Amino acid sequence: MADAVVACRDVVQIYASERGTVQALRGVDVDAHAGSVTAVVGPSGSGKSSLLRLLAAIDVPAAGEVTLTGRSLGELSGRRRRRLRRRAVGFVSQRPADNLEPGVPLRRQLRAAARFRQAELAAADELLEELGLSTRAGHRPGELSGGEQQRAALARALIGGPALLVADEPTAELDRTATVDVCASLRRLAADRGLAVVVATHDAAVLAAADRVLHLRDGAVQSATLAGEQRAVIDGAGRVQLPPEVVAWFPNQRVRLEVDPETRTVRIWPS
Amino acid sequence: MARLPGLLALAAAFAVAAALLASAPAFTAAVGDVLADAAVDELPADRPVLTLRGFAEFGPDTAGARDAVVDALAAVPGLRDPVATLALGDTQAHLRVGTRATTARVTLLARAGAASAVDVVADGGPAGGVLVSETVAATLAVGPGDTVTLVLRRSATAVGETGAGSAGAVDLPVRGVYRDFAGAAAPPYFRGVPPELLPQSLAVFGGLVEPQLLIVEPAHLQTLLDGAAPGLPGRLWWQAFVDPSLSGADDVATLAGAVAGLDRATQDPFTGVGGALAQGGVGGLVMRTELADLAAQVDDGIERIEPAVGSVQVAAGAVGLLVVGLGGWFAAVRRRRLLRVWAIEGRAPWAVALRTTAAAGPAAVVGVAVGGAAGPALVRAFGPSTVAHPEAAPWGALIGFASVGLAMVAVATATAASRALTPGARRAHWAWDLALYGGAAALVAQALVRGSRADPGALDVVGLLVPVAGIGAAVAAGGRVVGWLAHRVRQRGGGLGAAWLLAWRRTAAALGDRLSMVLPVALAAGVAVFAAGVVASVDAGLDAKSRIVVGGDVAMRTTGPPVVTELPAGATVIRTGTASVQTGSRLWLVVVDPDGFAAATGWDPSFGLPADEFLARLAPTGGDAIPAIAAGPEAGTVPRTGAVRPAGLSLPFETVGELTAVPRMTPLRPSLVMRSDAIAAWAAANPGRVPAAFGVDPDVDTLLRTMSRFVIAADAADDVEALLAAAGERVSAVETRAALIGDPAFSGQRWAFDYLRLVALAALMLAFVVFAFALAARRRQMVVAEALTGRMGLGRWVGASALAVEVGALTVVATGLGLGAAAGLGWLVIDEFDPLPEVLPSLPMILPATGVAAVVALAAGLASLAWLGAWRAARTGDMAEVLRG
Repeated sequence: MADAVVACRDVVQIYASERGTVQALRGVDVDAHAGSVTAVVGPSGSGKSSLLRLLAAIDVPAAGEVTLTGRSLGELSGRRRRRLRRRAVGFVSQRPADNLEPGVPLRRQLRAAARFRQAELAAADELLEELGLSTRAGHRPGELSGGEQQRAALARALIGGPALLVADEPTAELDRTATVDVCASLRRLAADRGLAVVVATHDAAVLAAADRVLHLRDGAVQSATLAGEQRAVIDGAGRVQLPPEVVAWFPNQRVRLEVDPETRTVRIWPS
Repeated sequence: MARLPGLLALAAAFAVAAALLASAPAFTAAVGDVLADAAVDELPADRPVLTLRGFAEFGPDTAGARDAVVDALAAVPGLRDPVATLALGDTQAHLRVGTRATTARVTLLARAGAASAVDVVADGGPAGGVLVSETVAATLAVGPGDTVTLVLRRSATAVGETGAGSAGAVDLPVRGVYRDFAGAAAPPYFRGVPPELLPQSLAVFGGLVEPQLLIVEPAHLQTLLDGAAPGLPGRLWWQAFVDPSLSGADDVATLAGAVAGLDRATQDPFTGVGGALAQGGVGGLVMRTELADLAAQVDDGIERIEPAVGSVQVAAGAVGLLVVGLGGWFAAVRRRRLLRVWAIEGRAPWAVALRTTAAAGPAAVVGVAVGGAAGPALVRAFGPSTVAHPEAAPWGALIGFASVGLAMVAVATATAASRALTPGARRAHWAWDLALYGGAAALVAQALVRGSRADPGALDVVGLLVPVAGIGAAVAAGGRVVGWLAHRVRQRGGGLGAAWLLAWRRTAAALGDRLSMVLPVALAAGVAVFAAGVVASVDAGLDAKSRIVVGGDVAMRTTGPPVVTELPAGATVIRTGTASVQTGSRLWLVVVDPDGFAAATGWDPSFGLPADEFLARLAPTGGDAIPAIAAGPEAGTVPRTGAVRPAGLSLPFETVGELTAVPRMTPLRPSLVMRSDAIAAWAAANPGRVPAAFGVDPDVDTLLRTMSRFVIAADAADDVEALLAAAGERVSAVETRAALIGDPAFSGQRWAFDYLRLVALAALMLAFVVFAFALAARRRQMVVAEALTGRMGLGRWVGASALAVEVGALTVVATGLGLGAAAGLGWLVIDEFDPLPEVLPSLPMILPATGVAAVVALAAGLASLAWLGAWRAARTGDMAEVLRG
């Protein structure tokens, strides 16, 4: 945890709603390190967005501890948390429209963000260059494609050199080509800038680009896997729930199992 | 951040509100002009309106003092033709020639034009001599060329002296003799001479007329006095006339200020005019003028109307701030995604608000500047006076308004920004919650604090501001009920067509969640109808009350024995006076002539009976008692039967009905009405009960000779007055209904509410700006809904119709709430606005159809524009673009 950009320990998050209280997170432990891409997956209502809001210092946990760049969110006032968020966090929302100022050319709004975050104005042009948007710098968001808008959103989020980039399903509304572009950008930015990237996603391409995948279910981390490794749980009835992308490998959902009692391994093949 | 349409809308909102704010003091100034003009019109043009009088010991410098004051008066704006009058001689001055002396007191008068105004019957003496009257000439046996000696005695009131004694004498050559005034009637010129100098006929001395005037041209006076010892006692008057071009409250105030300044200056014996007077031996100065009263009268009128206009100004400012605040809120709601981006990036709500305020600042400045300049122009175009008052624009208040408006935009934006990351807390109930609780407090205040008739200011504040706030409260409470109902029925609507189903659900959602867009429309509509109702009620009430007070369109009081017995059509006679009844209480007796009564008085149905039935009930019955009807306040206390006793007469009566009011009744005590022919018939039938002092077979005029007699006419005043004058009947006073209705004391309130109606109609436009803001904030949903209905295979008309029904329903709810609240509150408080509360029990609360129709038509038109704009935005929007943002 010492070198983690952001870390959660036994985090519980509770929301009040008209129907009562909702426990969105139940004792979650998460670390995100510099230079790594962490993907958070899980069905709707599993707590992904709640976790991302905590990681981005938008909310404070009801219980447990979240530390961002070494500072515990629970100990900060709202003003100091806002300042920490300004300095250390970049955030990209699912919809491109939620990330950019409508009607304002890219270069102008990136420079405005640079002024706000007390960064060099040249950083705006560098980021546009780095994300392949130099030729689109004078365009307004409405004149860009979805992929370009999300890359522009990445550029805006990275102005000022935050240590953490939080992205909430950044490719959900993009086509395959744009998704690949955004994933590549995320991967490259993490590596080149030493960013800790946390991405909520359902997209296999993003998962493929991640160093680590957190599976959330009912507000708890169901499993944590490294890239290329998938884990599942066997319930009391002997059922195994596979990740959706794995299930997709078996189109007719029929499988053939090969059980090796010696090595206690099970292999699955399409039937 | 802001876009041009939004900035234009914001600037328009600021401009309209600022124009209303700025027009309030201009309106007050305009009312002051009207009051001043009316007051100036009442000033006499042919006699002085200012007189300055002083005592003098005539010396070489007296002429300088005289001229100094004349010059000072000439310098006063609004005064004209200053004239000085010098009088030598006091209460014991007389003329002597040898052993002959005058019995009557004499005064040497020096006044420009006086010598030309008398009828000179003998001339030929020295040009610098004096004119003496025929009486003086005969008494002293002198003529032109002779010399008379004016012997003066110092009176107790002379400057610096006490007691009386010989003061000196001066020899005066006689220039000529003028004809004695006829009796005491001086030629017209002398109407302008100080009354103290006008000859009076002293009955106790056998018709002795004094003072006898010796008249000399002012230029010759000093020459005459050169040979005399200085210090001869006398008096000086300075008079001035009002300039007929004097107009407006400012001129009147300037004039009053200058006159007051002159008065002060004359009291300072060391400098200026006062110094000149002191040097000239003039002191004991007293100023009499109607001009101070004039300024006070205008000030009183303005003071009466100021609270009402101030209340309107506050209401306009509050509505303007509400519009600006809600506009800021809806604009922030429309930009909630952007606010969310900024919030996530770590921008503080106050920083976002500051940025928004900076962006809105120029629009506010432009709007306030335009509105501030337009306010006085609007008053000039629509107000009671055509005089512009750009100096009245309250720039300090406007700057304050702009600052508070921008602060409200900032608060709305900051609130929206602070909630941007908390989706569950986005609904804005604060606006109309504020109105609800504030209005409830106002209603409680209204229940506890009633206006005082003795204090019109308090009356207007309570009567106007509180109902306006009350309308806001009633609308907010009604809106909450409608919203609750809408929430209950939101899920209904099954079986409706597509358009109606959409409209049902949208309207229910809007009523449930967005009543803040309805509130300003309802408030403005309510205030407009309330103001129109008060104006209509005051008009109707004054119309009826004026008929009661005057009796008809014109009432001429005649004195002396009546000469004219046959009046033309449209004229009648009403006699009034006090009388006692057997209980010892005093009644107001009103005797009417049946001939032409209904036509002359313009009988009002609100009196309680049709005119025909009224006269029929009072018709002579041939019985022992005269039919009578009780009317006015405490009519129920009049005995059923009894005898009413005007001076020297006892008239038995029997009450045959009660009326609310009757022409020329008094509000002070109950009135008893009889017909003159019924009184005559009773007298003829009961000669033994008529005192002998009335003679044998007396007529009505003889019987009722102690009562005041009025000739009442409808719309034919000049003819009837001319007829009376031609017949030699003296008309001592003329009252007109038009003068009563036009009395600024009554009209001021009407003007204020006319103004309030204009303000409210303008505010209605502002309210629809809020409406448009709210619709614009929902553009995204509308675009999506429009696209979805298209994809569902439904025609464009479905979406358009649904939107029309939604906008229409919201407008109907808003105007309905406003009109209902206005009608209810108006009915509750209309008594507060009665300009003549002592006449008739109360004003009727009238909701004028034209006023309601104007509000409904304006609301319908503005709602149509809002619908058209919203539908066009929805129709032309690209859903994909909307989804991308």
